[in-house]
Amino acid sequence: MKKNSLFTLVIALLLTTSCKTYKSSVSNSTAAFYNYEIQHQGSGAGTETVKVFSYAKNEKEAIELGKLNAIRAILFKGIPNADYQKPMVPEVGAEEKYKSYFNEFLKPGGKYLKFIALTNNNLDVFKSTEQQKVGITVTIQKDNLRKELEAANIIKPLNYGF
Amino acid sequence: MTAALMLPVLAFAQAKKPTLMVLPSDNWCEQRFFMTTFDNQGTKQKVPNYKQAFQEDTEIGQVISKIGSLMIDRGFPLKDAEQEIKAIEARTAEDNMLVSTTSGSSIAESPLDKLKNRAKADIVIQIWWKVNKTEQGKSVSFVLEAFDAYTSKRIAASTGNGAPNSTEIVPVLLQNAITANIDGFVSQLQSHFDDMFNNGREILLTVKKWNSWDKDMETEIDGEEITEHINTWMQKNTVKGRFNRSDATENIIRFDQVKIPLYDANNNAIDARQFGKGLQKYLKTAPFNFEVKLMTRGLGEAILVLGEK
Repeated sequence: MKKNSLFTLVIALLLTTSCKTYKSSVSNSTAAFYNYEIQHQGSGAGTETVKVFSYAKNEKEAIELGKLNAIRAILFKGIPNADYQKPMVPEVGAEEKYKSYFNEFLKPGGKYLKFIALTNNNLDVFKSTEQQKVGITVTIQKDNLRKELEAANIIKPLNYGF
Repeated sequence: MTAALMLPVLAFAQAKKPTLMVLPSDNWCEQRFFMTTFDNQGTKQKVPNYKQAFQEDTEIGQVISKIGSLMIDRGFPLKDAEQEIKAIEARTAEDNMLVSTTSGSSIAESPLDKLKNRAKADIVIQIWWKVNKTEQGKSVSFVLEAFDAYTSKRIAASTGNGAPNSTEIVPVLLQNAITANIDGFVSQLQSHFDDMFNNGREILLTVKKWNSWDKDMETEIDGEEITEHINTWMQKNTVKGRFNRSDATENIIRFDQVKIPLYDANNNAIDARQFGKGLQKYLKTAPFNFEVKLMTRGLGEAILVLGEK
């Protein structure tokens, strides 16, 4: 009987450890970048305001992830109901094709932050035991972002070829 | 070596740039009473009076100006319709006054030249908007559409309804409507240009005959009808042989969806006129030896008339 309980305890401990290892790695993996929700809030002169809900271990991480996800959304995914419903980078597989550029551009503290005009500190936080879902409002300078990508030859300007 | 020399030339080859012009839609002109009625052989017809719209409407100027500034930002300045109308009037007045100092001759102008002397562009951007009044405030419904002037195809469109707003004034609502619709519109325009660079420029080509000509399109030359000779030339000279022969009678052949290359063998940019000139040369040489008149409408339509010039 004692032997059985000891065996169950060891199994339970092993399971808990492996689960924790998996969850902590998720926040740092690329999966975390794709796991976000985005809502269009409004358009201004050269700007697009969105609300991004990201999943992270804490609020600080979620805010940074929110800014990154807002930029990733406008670049590669498109924003429902916004003017950029289709991605700003329309070429399929561009993220992979221009990997070195985007790795540098989207790295922590990277150039992408230049195109975040305003971040609202009124957060919507939904806490669970393991993760937090945090919503922040981000204003993206879409015209400047487009010009940056045109200068880097990632996207073509409208007058290209004429 | 030759390839290395060719590359920079190809890299800098530039296609003929289409002109773009913003005009209010017919429906907008009708709603604001900017229409002119004229008698067309017994049938009353209404056409937009753009000059009156530009002179009297208080919103159109700022809407066109805003779209224009956004397009300049994209490297694609627009032809201004209001200025174009003024320039045409000035040119016409000057032409009417112009006389040769030696013979006293005036400038030659056919009825067709007179008819063609109007504001035109290769791509016409039509705008329509309406200010709605609701209990929550005013909102703007907005439509922006681009049409190819020759093929009449809609090449870009963007529509939107702004949220009701009780604080902003109408000009601000209009500006917001434009900024909220322009990127989607421009990306569709970009897709159209991409298609043009990949598959060639789409034009219309019409071959007609003068009434006085002793032959018609069904006349056989070297065992084949003229229609078939022209068809074979089209297959050889269009991009991937893409074109539709939409009408073919003994008097007229109409080709639409004709995809022409953007550059000729010497890497010079070509348009409907140069393409039509190729067919004109072919029909002028043996075994045809026809006299052919070539007329064009902008970059995208060529008309050849067989028999005389």
